[in-house]
Amino acid sequence: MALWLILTGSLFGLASPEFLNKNFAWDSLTLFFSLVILTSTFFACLLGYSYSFPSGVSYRRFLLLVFSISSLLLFLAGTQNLLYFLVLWTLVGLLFFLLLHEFDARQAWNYLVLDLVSSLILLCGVAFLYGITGALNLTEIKVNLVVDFFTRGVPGKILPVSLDLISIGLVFKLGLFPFYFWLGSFHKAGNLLLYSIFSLLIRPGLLAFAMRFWLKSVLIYQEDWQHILFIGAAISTLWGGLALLLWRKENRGWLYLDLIQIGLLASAIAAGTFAGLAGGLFFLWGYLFGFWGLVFIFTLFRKGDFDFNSVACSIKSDKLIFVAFILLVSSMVGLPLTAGFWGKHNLFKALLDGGRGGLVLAGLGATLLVALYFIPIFKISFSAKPSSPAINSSRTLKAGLLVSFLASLLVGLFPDLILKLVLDAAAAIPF
Amino acid sequence: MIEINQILILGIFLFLWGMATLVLLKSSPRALFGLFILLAGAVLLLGGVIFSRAPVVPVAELFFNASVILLAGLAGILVLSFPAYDEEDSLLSLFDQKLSQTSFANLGQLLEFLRLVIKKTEEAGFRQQILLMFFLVVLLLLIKLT
Repeated sequence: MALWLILTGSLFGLASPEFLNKNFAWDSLTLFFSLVILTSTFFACLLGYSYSFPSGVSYRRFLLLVFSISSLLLFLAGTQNLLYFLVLWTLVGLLFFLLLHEFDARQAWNYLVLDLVSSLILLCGVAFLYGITGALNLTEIKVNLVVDFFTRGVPGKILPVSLDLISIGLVFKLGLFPFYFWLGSFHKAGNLLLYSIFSLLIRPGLLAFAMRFWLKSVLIYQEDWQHILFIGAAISTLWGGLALLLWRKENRGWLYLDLIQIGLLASAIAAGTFAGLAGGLFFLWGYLFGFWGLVFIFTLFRKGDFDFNSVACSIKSDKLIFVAFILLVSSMVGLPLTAGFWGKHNLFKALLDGGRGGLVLAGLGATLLVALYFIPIFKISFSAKPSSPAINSSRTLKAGLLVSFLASLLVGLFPDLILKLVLDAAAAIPF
Repeated sequence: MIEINQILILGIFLFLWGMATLVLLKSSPRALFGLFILLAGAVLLLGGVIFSRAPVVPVAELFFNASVILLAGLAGILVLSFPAYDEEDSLLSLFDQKLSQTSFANLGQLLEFLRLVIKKTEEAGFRQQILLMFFLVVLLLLIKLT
């Protein structure tokens, strides 16, 4: 707890050691993602408090692992050195492996091996890039690339290879199409706690570094890596929406909904503009609170997945949960006056202004598909008679739901609340 | 213009894969798969050689692009036909009916087959995921380098 307090205190201006200044950026973007990570850590702790752990796993051990992961992610969010990133990410991966191992050893090994292999691909790219530029610091990489361009001309094919390898490594870890298949193992396990820790806690930390790398360091050679993000973003959103409808009965709601959200976030990065990044960061808040709220709802109904069909039938048994469910789902669809609406509005407007009409079409298509998916669910939830299902009476779960519901509602009604935070964070990247 | 050594590497890769499928034979359908993969690898090699040697004409480009799409289609088959993948190997039950008799009566059956393939891929172990990852990495790099 003391360590966590120190780390959070460092976000607000405690003097950082001199040797960190060069390779860690204590700027608005770090502050933004630190708040995201801390919020997710708080929600994860609330969720874990009411969770039925396997024998031999205590809540204390769970807290230790989650706090360790989040403290490393706080550093990861600000790092701007490729080697530091690899070290920190490997440590995060090992800690998450230890957490997974407590629940399912096979899934844990599955995750660890895949993460290490993707890190190996990333390391190959980093090695090539180091060979070209002689630097691992993101700012120095950019400077050296610019200087080399004017002194030696356009670099050969090894630079696109290195950027592609690094981008593929990052895209694999983020779970973008076509590298999202490995996330299906989380769904198979039916464990909302682990999936939410990965998707809503660990992944934002990775996203912070990915944004810095792509937009701060190698934006000048965007044609060498942007196509990977374009493909990943567009197809992730469309494929997620399509799969939701085609395989409705499979109850793999969170896998495909999550794919759509990460696809939209990738669109923001792929745009490569200040407005696009700001739109994406705003969208991230809506995604974060929306998903955490739904995780709390489904945990309250003792579900291991986003089983909308079965929950919709019994949601009216608790009015607070019913209202929260309607709001959070509306936010996910992007209905007006919700956080999700403003997030998508800002994002699509920025993409359109930046000339990325294809990504806007993909996003709108996904939004339509999600709306079509939820229409029958809304019908069921409104027409169902109140029943008495077995709901978890945990106060911590309800508290978590209340916080995420209120946050989502406030951002939806007063989007300017976080606008300054978002704009300052986007301004940390020198476009 | 593509580099001939890239195509050679890809073709050899496919040949080795097909041979591994044949060597670690578990059933006769796998033998057919292995032969099919070898043949497809040979087609890719031939397509690459023709494209690299011939003048830049639309037909040659079309042939090469079709080869790349064929390679993409092979990915799903290769992942599922990997010798160690025998966990609820539903695909084999389909091909146990003999390849020549395999057909889809309607679009629904084809969609169901695709659904099964995607579901198995999403729930596959790390070996299959790594194979898929490496294949996609090679594909993306080829797109960029050529």
